[in-house]
Amino acid sequence: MSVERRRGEMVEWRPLPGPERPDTVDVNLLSFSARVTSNSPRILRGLLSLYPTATPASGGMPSVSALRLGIVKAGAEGRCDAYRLYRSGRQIDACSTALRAIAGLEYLIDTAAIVSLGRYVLVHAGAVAAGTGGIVLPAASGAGKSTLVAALCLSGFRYLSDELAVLDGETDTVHPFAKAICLKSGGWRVMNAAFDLPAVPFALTRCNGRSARFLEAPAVSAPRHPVRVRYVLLPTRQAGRPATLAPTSRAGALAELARHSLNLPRHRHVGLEILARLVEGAACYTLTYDDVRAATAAVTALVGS
Amino acid sequence: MGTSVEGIIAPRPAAATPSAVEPNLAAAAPALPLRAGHIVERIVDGDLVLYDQNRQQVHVLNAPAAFVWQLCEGGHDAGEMAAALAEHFPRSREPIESDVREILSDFSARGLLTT
Repeated sequence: MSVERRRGEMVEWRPLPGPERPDTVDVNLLSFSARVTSNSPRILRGLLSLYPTATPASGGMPSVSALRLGIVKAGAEGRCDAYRLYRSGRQIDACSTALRAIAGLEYLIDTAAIVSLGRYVLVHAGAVAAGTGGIVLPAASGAGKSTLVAALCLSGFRYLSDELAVLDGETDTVHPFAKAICLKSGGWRVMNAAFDLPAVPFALTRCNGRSARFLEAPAVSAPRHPVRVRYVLLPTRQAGRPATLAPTSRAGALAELARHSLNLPRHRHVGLEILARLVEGAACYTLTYDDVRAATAAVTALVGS
Repeated sequence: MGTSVEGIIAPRPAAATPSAVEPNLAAAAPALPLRAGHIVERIVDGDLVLYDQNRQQVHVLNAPAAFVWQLCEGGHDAGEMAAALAEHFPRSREPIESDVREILSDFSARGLLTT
């Protein structure tokens, strides 16, 4: 695999498909679905950019369990209630700008999806695929997961998720949970120095108050099906360190997966068993690096070896 | 985040009681230590992993700690455990009893033993 520049895969806004403007978008993340209705094309374009699996609604009824959200543009951009946010027909918030409204939608959709996907073991991790195997990269928020995942995807790996590994205990696989890749300011600087990125990405101030730029996920190359986990890599970014992959114990990797799990308490000992089987079927390494391209090269060499 | 793993007792063959995070090492272990019922055990690639279902913590034990853990059946005191451990790891005979007490104290502080 070689490092390629794929400017064409990253666009600021995903265009609305079709000759007519849809007013409703369905967001599907595995078995979770949300239907979002809005009179603002900007809002819907934002959702389509954030969620590569989102599609304009075909006109049918949403599933009974679907989260139903609405955004009504009721005034000029900048007014405190320019965008009114509704859930199941009831107003729950108001925002001054379209980007704030999109950030609110993202928060509502993601939290509902995480609750809805509770039958899986969910781990705060990046995930990519190479061939028929998956690579899971558990790490804390701010550790550089998204940056590494973005760099790997720009180097030929296929995209599963930059923040959530959805682990299926029945098949010992990781499912795609594809959203636009979220780069915080540090990650954006690193990626901009290493790759040819779009000058003006899709940017939001998220509900946690932190600003983020989004690279549209390379949806074309994203697997639609779950893949078996072949590697668990524990990434640590350290200034001045060469990119090094070192074998680590499967038990230690299990502990890291457990540490970053979002819902292990729900699964209790069964969750531990799922994680144990997963690491037993995978090769486990620590990945220490400073330069993201060198890290990508090291992972490429590992997978290719 | 729903799960925390405060203490990862990493497998380090040379050390008897390693721990990444020290909770309360002054905690006294029972005279006849007994494994708590809410702890799930799993061997992963030769390492003993303990999962505390109450605290939602995962611990990975090194070899001496795993040996001591297996003896926490409510019928052995620290001295007996030290003697058994000395037989199993003969080169580290001298400091072994204090190591065992430290291991048991660590287990106790992490809520792994019945009180």
